[in-house]
Amino acid sequence: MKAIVLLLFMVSSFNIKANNIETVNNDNKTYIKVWIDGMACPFCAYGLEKKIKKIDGASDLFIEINEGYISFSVKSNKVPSEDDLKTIVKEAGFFARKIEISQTPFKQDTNE
Amino acid sequence: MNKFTVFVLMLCVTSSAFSHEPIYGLGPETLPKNMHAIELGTMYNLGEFEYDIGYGYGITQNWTVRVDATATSRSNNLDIRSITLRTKYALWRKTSPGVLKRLTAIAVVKFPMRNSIEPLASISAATIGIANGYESRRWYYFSDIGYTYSWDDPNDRLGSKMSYNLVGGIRPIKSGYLKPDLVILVEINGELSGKTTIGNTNQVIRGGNTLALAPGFLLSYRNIMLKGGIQFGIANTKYINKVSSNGLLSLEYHF
Repeated sequence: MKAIVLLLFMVSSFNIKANNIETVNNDNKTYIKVWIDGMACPFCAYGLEKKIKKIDGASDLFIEINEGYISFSVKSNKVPSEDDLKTIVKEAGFFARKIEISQTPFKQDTNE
Repeated sequence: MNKFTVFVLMLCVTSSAFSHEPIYGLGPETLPKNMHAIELGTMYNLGEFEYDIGYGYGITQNWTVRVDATATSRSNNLDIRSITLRTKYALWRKTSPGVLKRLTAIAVVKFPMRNSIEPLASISAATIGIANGYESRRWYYFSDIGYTYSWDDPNDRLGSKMSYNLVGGIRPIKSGYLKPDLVILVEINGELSGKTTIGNTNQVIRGGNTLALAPGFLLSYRNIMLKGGIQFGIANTKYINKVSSNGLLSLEYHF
């Protein structure tokens, strides 16, 4: 009996995941989070905002000054390379310490 | 107001700074690559307003150029006193989470406007300096040293100057990206002046040292910053006057 319940639970979980993937695919977005070193003030971070917005298809931009990261989304067929992202961050005067790429939105993501 | 005071005032108002850096001192800030910045400022000193308009551009993330025009308004006439070109190059930077440390070289050349009605307006000046800065989410620290050489007038020989500034700052509230951001600064501005001769040998002002205290603020919202400060002379050697109290307010916009 326990085995049946466990099996049903696994099948159910798989269906949820499958549905999520399907939703993401429909959304056609890839989510990028960049941990930034040197981002000390909002005024300086504007330089980063300006550069990120120039990435083709970039949207959902979120800048978290106190935690030290930014996140945004791009169309899944236009994901910039890690080297491109590092260059963008460097040209804004900062350093990209870590880059995370996900098919689902990162937790948080509102500047309100 | 004597000629020497006017010249000091002219140097002060052209010490405009970008972003989070000292109001009166030199600062290490360089603009991001391809960033434009404009700044409108006014300074009140000895009963007179001066106006400054500046434009800056980030050629690279380490190299910024800027041009400033300084003017006064007298009898409803705008008198453009000088055009100032400045460049900054970040020699070194070190980053860590929420912290930026920088060492920047600075060069400034001030070209006088020949048609200015201001005495000593024909004197050019060049400044070289170096500034370092520590910026974090809570604390700011800057220090700089600069050397200014003046020339170009057959009768008036202004002494060279060495300026030195020490600045501390604090961000009382660590606000989010889309919130107003306030930083409070306190500057100690020092200047060591060489001997100045005005009108051949008619008037000689021996060199000396002055020290001033300047509390200030930087209030920003995204790409707009309002900044201001008040400077008080606090000490001087006997051959040179204390810095006259003055106030400075400017608005900066990045795009």
